[in-house]
Amino acid sequence: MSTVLIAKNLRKSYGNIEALRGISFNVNKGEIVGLLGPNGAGKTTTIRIILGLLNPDEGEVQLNNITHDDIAFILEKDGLFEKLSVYENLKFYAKLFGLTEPFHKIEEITELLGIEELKDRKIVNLSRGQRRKVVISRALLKNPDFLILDEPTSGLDPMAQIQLQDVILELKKRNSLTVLLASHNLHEVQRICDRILIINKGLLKFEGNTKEIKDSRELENIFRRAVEDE
Amino acid sequence: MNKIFVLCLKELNEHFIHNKRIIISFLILIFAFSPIVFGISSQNNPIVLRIIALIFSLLPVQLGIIFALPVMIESFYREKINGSIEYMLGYNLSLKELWLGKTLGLTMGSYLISVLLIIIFNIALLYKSNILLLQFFGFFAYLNLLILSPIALFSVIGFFSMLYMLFRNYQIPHYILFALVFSSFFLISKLKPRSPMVFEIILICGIAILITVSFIIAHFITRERVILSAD
Repeated sequence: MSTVLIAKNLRKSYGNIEALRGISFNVNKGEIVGLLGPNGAGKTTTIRIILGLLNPDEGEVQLNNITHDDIAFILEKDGLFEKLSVYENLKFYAKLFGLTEPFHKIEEITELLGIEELKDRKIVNLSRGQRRKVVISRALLKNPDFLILDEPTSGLDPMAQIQLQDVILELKKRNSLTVLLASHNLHEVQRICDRILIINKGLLKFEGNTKEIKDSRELENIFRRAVEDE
Repeated sequence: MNKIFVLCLKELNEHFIHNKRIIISFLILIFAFSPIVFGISSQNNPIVLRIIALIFSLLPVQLGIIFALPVMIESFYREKINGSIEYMLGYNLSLKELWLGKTLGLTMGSYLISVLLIIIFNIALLYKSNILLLQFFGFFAYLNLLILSPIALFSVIGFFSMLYMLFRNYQIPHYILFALVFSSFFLISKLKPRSPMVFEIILICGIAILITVSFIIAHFITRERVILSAD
């Protein structure tokens, strides 16, 4: 299995606060990797460094056989333009991504996610679950090889969470996507990830395959040990 | 399509076409300016009408700022807070493209809407007293309306948009705006420009200062600063 992302010894501080204290990990092609950790563990900082939004104080991120153009991402905030319709939001990003005829692509993706009837609705009139689907549609417009998700189900009701997880699994199956999923939801990570990384206080505390973890109780224990370690 | 142009069109669409607040401001300004139009309609002295034409030619700057200010907060500050700017930067839009696309869009929108308002005043004036203000437009009035006003508006919007990107507290740019408005009124009242030429020189110097300061501020704006100031 080829490696698409190598993060080497990432360190990042905000003033006196050390957000990352030397994190290293790999992400292989076609796998879903869960980046698990409590609030303030350093998940968002790691993702922002991978996306090139922040510069690490030390260390580096290497991309193999992909470029930044092949990466799409979903952050905790949806960043949609509230006054515009779903279609106008998607059209803007499609043009930003360089798609010359975005209409068919938008049709195809909104149909895949079951939001085709929402196309003319303004973002401000959508529920949180519907907004999340628009955000996924935006990411898929890029035809990404690598999808980075930062707390994608945060604030969603349980049903919407399950639906969103199913969409991620479906996408992985269809497009053999590589996914890095940052979350603090143990159940979510265990359900959809192939591999789990647990970080706490800027350090990598655990790395293992989901298949090797018997059940949610065992993951809970692993997580508790990793988080209470210091 | 060029990224700057795509962003510029998005700004026009979102903040001027789909923005009810702009229509309300537009109607309020028509209502507020109608007594002035009626006042002018009683004038028939060509020298006074030339001065009025000169003042009208500079209105796009003042009106443009009135239209642009709330829109700037939405476009730069709120989009920074709700994560839109982080997405755009993450999707390979450079800071320069982001700033230029947004500033151009807001400048075009607020300039065009101000010019539309001036056209409405002129039509009202023509209807009320057969005065076509365009007849009294001299060289300086055309220079102001077509060249200096949009450049002045661009420099003001560009300057404040940089401040909105730089600071976490959106009130700081507001304090700077008030300080700038009052100091420019004070300066003009002190200098008492007696000819349009002197006034134009003051305006050009003001634009040059704003552009220079904007260039200096630009050195402090980084992706990291913009993103972290939204957390």
